[in-house]
Amino acid sequence: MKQTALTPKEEALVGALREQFGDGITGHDKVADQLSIFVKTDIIFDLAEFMKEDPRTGFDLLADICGVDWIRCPDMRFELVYNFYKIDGDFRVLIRTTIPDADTPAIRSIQPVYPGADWLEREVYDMLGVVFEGRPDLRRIITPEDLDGWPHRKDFPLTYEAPHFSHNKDLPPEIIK
Amino acid sequence: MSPATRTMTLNLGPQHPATHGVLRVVLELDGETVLRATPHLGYLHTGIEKTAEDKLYYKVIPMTDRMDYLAPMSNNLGYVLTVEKMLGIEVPEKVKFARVLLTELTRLNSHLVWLGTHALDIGAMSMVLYAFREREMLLDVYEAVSGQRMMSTYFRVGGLADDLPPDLDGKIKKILTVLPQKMKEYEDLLSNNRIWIKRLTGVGKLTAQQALDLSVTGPLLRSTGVKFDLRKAHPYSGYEKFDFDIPIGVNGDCYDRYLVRMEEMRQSLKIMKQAMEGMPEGPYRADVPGVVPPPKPDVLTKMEALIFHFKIYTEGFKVPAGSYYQAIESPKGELGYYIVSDGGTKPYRMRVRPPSFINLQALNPMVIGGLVADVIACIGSIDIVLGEVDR
Repeated sequence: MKQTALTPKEEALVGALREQFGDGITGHDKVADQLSIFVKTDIIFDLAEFMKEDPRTGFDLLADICGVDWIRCPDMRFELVYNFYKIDGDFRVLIRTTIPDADTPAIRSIQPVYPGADWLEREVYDMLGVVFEGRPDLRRIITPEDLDGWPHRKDFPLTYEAPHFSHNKDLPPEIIK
Repeated sequence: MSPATRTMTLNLGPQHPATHGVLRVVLELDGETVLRATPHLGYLHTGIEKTAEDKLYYKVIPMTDRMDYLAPMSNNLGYVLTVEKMLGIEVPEKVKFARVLLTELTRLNSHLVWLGTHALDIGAMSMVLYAFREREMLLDVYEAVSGQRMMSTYFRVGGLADDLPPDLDGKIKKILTVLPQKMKEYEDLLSNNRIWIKRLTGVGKLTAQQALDLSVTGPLLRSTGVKFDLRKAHPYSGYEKFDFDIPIGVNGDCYDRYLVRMEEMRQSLKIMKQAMEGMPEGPYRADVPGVVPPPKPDVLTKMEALIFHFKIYTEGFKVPAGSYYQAIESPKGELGYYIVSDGGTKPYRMRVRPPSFINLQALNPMVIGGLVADVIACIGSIDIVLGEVDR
């Protein structure tokens, strides 16, 4: 998609974030009217606090958290996309961070800052197996508790193999076509 | 534990008729007072986001219908707008107007079902019959444009599935004249009804700050006094050309949500009237070879058109690599699609921001300290569709 130039409002935000976090901000890009800022995983909690409370930001709504599995990329596995929105002034920004660790992916939870992140983080955990640290009650939300595997990972079978629950975990894989 | 402090756990649902589908809520009660409500989801999980990763872009559209099955056209609109934005397609004016007309019709459809079932939960049995009677008129329009009464799949990438039928004007005019009278009837029955007021006023209160913290959107957020509507805040599909108001509430309780939704229906009728009167002439699809199928007569007579037609329906079309988030104001709140493309003919990842799912988070703070019967009123006033909550 085509890259576009930043508006003054967006430049101010990127500048403020760089001033606050320095190396924690690894880059930004803008396609069409969508601004994305790439950050390091370890600053995500401080960043969420900054996004909510600082007078330069004031993003009051955490619209969404989306997890993407980049299984074919060598140096990263999971990408989390935090979607912040500021109602006053119609300002949306996507904060992206990547988790390289494929075996025990983990990131600090932002639920203490944005309570609305509760179910969003539980869904990401449920679907991708990314563990959110520093929050209570991290359970599966949509799939059953005893499901074996993480459905939105790219190596989870889409249609060909029956998923394993506690009642069939010892049976050989059943192929359903 | 002494008998005075012993709490009771009550399981509500998943097959209870007042939970609007298959919602299961585990209530912790102290006598009649709710201490905590824990929703358990997933009974209708169909893996739509995962399935979309194995479908060509145009084959995803029918699945979006099945998420919020009371507002299929809103779901279609969000999806096609995202893909169009990624492809850089600008659709003709007529398409924009038709989409606005039909999504507002969808809002009416969704709110009518909400009104009927909400009133049924509260105990006003006859409302559901009246609401479904009027909904027939709306479903007639669905049937006229798409041939289907519920899962319309009418919006396509780059335009519409087919041209608008010639008898559409008459059907819309009928809605525009009949529905305001009927809505007055509903309000005569409900607005000053003593039971209705007692059951809803002061129940399920949320403050504006609470609602924002919980990421709540839609009528639920507006009832707390926050004037946030994506149709105004970030217009899409030509909404900036229409004149309408955003109703907001004051108290953030169930009664305010009722008032906000009723006024929203009036505003939807106003938008539909403008869309119908201003409907421009022109093509119902953008002319983008390789993405939008060519007109059927051309397919039968011209070689290039036949090739494009064949290629689109077998290989699909490629979307440039990248990702884009597009949100629309669905009847339930902010409905967003975040699509990641790796440059192929299928989405690498499709994420739906489901308004019902996120609004349902507000159930627990709403019902704490209330009575068991208020839980039913609160579930009704959030207006959830389980197809969308579980996806």
